[in-house]
Amino acid sequence: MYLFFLTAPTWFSKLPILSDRIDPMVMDYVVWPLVQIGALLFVVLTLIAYLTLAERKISAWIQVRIGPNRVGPEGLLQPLADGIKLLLKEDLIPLKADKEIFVISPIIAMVAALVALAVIPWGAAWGTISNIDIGLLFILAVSSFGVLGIILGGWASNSKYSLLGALRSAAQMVSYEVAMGLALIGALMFTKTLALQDMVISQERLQIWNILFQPVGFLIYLISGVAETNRAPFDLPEAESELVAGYHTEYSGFRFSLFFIAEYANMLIVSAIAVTVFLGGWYLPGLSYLFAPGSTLFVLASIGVFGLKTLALLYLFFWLRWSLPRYRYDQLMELSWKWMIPAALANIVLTASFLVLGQELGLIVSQNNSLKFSIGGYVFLISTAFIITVPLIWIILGQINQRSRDFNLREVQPLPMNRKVNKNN
Amino acid sequence: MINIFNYIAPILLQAEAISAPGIKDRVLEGLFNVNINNFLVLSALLFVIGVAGVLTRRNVIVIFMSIELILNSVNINLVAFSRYWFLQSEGKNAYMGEIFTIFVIVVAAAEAVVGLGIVIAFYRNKETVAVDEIDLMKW
Amino acid sequence: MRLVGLEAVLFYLFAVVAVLFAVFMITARNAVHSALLLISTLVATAGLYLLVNAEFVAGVQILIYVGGVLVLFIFVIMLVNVKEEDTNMFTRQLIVGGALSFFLALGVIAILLQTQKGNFFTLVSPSAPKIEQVQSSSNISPSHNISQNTIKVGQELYTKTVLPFEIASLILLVAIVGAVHLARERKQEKIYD
Repeated sequence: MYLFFLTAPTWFSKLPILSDRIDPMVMDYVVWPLVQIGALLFVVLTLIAYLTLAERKISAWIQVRIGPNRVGPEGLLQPLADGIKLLLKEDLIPLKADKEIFVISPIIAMVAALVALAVIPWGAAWGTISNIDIGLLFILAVSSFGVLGIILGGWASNSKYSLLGALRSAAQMVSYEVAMGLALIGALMFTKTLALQDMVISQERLQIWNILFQPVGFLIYLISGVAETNRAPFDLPEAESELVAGYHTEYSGFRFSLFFIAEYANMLIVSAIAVTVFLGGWYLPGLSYLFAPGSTLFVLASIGVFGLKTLALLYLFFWLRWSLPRYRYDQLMELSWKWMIPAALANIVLTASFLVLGQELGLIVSQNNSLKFSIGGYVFLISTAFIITVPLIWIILGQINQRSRDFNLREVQPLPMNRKVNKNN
Repeated sequence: MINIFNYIAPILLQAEAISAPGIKDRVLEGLFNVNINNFLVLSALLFVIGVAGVLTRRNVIVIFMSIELILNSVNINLVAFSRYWFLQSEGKNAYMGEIFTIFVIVVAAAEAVVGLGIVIAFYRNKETVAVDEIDLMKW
Repeated sequence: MRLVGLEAVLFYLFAVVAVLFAVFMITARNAVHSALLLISTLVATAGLYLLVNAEFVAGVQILIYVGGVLVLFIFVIMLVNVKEEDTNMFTRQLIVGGALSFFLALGVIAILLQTQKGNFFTLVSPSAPKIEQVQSSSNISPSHNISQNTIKVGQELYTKTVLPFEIASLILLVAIVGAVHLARERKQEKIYD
């Protein structure tokens, strides 16, 4: 088997207590990843718990009120209280529910959400846990695995409303997954690799964030990401005033908290991938001047940069919830299939044609597995992205959706009634 | 004419080989050196299980799933030969097995989609998915 | 190709899981249980692909097979709303089908034994090459030396096999059109009933 090139810091195998008992190779390749995984799980689960508090506080501030502020100082122990409450609730399984599937489905949802955290480049050298060469494909595959947990959760509850909510939710997630995958391909043309750490490094070498090359791709990815995680304004399947609570109606106690963790972890993953692919990951233009590249401080600073960017995108998620009205289900599906996917496809075609044009004009040189731009190359690509691609996609979308654009403004004609008149009394 | 001895001879040779000395160590060492034969046996097992599923089940959707299992066993075969061939031929046409596997997956997906469309269209008419009740054209 | 040590153990683990869950799948009474067991089999198969360094195919298998085709299967099972199958074990279909598969199994075993020509277990000379170490060419991947599988598969897919690639996309288009047409509700027929 080839070696997975996990990078441990140089000081780790020289730690005083353990280094004389354990082989340094084992320390670097077995103990250090376990330390990384433990730290990551601890940080992410605590972060998810405090994201619930952050959502309540931010929603409150948007609505000009104060959120929870009783439990700890400024409500900081509220997630602990929520966790204890959920743990102490009664664990109900509906009578005719399919017991094994009822038990397994929140586990599938949560495991699929947490497994994807392993390949995200949280930091520079030893900030990532692993850098596999199919990183982005892995994340997409694991997200589609999480859809299964939702469908099975709705079905196993043996209730009409749960099943309908689950089917709607799953259809929405599958539709927006296609749009997400297509939107990422535009950025892939610049990074020329699927490995996530290599994407950040290619942005570092080009000294640019991919959002400047792909504004349309970023927008499509973000909107599809919000819809993928069933967040407002696309949360019809689980909104409180609609189908009770959708697929997790019948779940109580700890199982409900597993679904909840899965939803917030999905949000975290969507934000993290948006940051990695479009916003430059852990790279900030001045970072290598402040700290020596490769040193421990550099890695810690890069982890901090990544965390700040991800939290900014998560704030956007919370902000969107209380700013836009909810989409109706058919409007939601129409948005995916008639707006997002054609826009993503047009984005791919236009980006590819401008890249080839740039190579013909000599502004871009494509080497082994990387692109080299001259100043003219940067200017050419960024200007065509904003000046040509955005208006062209706007026009294309307008043409495709001409009929449905006027739908809501037209008066709806009543359908012809088929009345069978019973003439025999 | 089927030459039955061609099939029985290997089994007899196995029986003779089993009585040779030192066989247990060699068997263990052979077991822990996994090579192409193990993949072929696994593929054949999954194929036979898939065929048994197609022939014995009554629910047409489970029959479709057994067909997917058959296609999956063929995929294992292709990928194993791709890696085996890679080392034999120094990298010429090395990834053809994997590429063909991708095409098999694509075609299996397309076929599953159309097949399930047929199942839904039929269910709308007859309200059943048992394969022995779908007999509208039986004489 | 020779997998030794931990890889052999993992191979046996994935292989036993795949075969066991396949057997459970064809004997499960509930169709959703069958679908879940097939998912487990496919995930074990993806693990096997990872063992032989075919990572792209493993990713594609989980993305398309598990995340697409089987989700569609589960959708259809829920729409069709199947009850459990009846428990009469020895129907005529079961006996005939079982007998046919048994004879198929015998034939397959015969073929396998014949190709090995009597040395089924003690097979490998120690000079057989192992799975090679990953090519470390630092001018390809910017950071670490990671596997080149995706790059090579992509290069061959778009240069040597570009015609089958286009035909595959046409097949998918035909499948989409066919499925939409088959599953469409016929409003016309309902109104003029």
